Amino acid sequence: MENKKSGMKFLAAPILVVLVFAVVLTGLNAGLGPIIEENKSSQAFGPLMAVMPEAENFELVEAQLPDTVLAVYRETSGLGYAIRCTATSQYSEEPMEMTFGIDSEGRICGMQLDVYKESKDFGSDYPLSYVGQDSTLADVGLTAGVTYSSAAFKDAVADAFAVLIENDLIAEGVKGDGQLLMELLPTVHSGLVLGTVGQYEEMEPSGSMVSAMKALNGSGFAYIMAEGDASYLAVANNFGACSVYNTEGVDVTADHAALVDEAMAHAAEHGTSYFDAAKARFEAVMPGASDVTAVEGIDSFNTVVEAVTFRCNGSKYYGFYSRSYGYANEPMDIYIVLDENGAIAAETAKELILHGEYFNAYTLDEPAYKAGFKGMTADTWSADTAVISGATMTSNAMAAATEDAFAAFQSIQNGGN
Amino acid sequence: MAEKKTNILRDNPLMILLLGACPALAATTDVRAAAGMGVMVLAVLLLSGVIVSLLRSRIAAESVVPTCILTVAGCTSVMQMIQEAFLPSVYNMIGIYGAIVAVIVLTNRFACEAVDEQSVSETAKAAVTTGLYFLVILVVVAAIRQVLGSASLAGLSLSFLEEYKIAAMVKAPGAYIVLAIVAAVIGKVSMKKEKEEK
Repeated sequence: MENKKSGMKFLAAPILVVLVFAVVLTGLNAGLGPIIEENKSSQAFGPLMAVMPEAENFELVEAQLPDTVLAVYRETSGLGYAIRCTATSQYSEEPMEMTFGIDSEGRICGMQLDVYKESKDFGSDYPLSYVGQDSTLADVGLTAGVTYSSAAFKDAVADAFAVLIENDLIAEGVKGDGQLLMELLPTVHSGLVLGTVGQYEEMEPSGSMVSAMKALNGSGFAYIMAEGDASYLAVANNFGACSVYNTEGVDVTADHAALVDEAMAHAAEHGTSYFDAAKARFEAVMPGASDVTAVEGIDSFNTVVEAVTFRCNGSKYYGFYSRSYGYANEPMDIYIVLDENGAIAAETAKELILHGEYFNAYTLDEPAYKAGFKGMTADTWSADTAVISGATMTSNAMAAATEDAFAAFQSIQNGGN
Repeated sequence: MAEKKTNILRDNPLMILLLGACPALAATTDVRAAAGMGVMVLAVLLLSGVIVSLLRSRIAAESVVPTCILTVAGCTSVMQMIQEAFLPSVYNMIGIYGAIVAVIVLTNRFACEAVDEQSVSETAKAAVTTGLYFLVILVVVAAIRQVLGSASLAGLSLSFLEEYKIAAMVKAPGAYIVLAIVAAVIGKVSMKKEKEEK
């Protein structure tokens, strides 16, 4: 009996505490539960509500997502979709994150940058320039000087639109002629782009031109031109060649002589001659070079800004001066000498590492690196030859310049235009 | 009264016995989190101390520890729920370390000691004093860590310190270093006071 009493006393206090707290916590849960739920909901959907303030609620859309799209939410009352995206550029300290809303018409109705830790700032106005755009993102450009960050941002938004379109959630926007033609640019004149990012300055258009662009490296021009109801893209290089394309990417040069003449006249008037610089450099690279003569009519459209032929030690050589885009998107000055068989006799650059102050631990053996190109032809060429550890942009520029020189040489062999 | 204050300063559980150091280290990356944690500990100490003190006559000697543990756990759950409802940002900053208050020696030791206290009011007074010291030390440690480690204070950016940030301050070693320095300063002050009083 005594033991029973003692056991009861042992259990009394713990049981009392458990019962009291069970009641208190149940009461608190009933009172605070809805507040806690509301807090959780607003935390989770806070950024979504910011871009779609009239939204009632959101539900997650199950879909296959690319790396750049974090999540897609459907607004439950049918207002549209809210999307969370991420993007990374070479200037990212950590990935950007943005949230944007797309209305039921397929247009961006709100945009918010949630995380932005890039070493270059594209400004608070840039994300807002997307508001009102449909999936074509026709009126959105890239921010000058912050092209990589803004391009990464734009690509992520485009990826998000692609997800919605692929899953039949919104209708695809219709691209305008100008946008279709500009998308041809990387394939028809690589001197005006780096990757998919335009490397040109806008010029005052004239005559049939809707817009005129001059390559930042001086490798040529691009024009959006109108004839009748149709629009065309004309590209011109530094060798007097011009090609015209329609919106489907078909070469229609032969059918539009007037546009060709107009584009070539504009290019001739505003073009830059690189002959003197090229001549001096090739004479230095190939001691004994003589009879340096400019080559005309090359119909390749790339980063080569000048081409010459010369004789050296009794043999004929072709010199190509390329200004492909290197570190910080700045044009490099790269000189490639090919022999009559199209094999590299010499390849050098005026300044191999631009802004060398950023490469403190730079230990490249430049003579050995340049010698590695010798003897390569278009058939044996490998971009691995151009690789410089820790200098990706320069490596890419050297590779692009070499490939462009081979293309220009091939054009000469084919008789040019 | 002066004797009591000096002893509390010297015998502060966090500084001398390093009781509650785990949440102290975890919650001191931001002043707001530190304040939230400090207030929570203070409230748990007060509530659990008062409850245990009230139940003192009904607690068998063998069930002191389980009763205290259950009381502290219950109080911690109550405080967490209140914090989650009314201070969700602080609740998120503290994260899992809020629940740890239920199992740290500081709170459980205090509750168990409350069984032996003279009265409820005395227990409450001791709880408030201990809790306030804990709160102040947490806020001081957090302020030092946040200013030196993140060049900010309670969400305000101190851009002029941006270049002088010490990354280690926001990590565990920084917490130990600052805690040790604060403990040393408090030790020195309390020793000096004791000498003066003698």
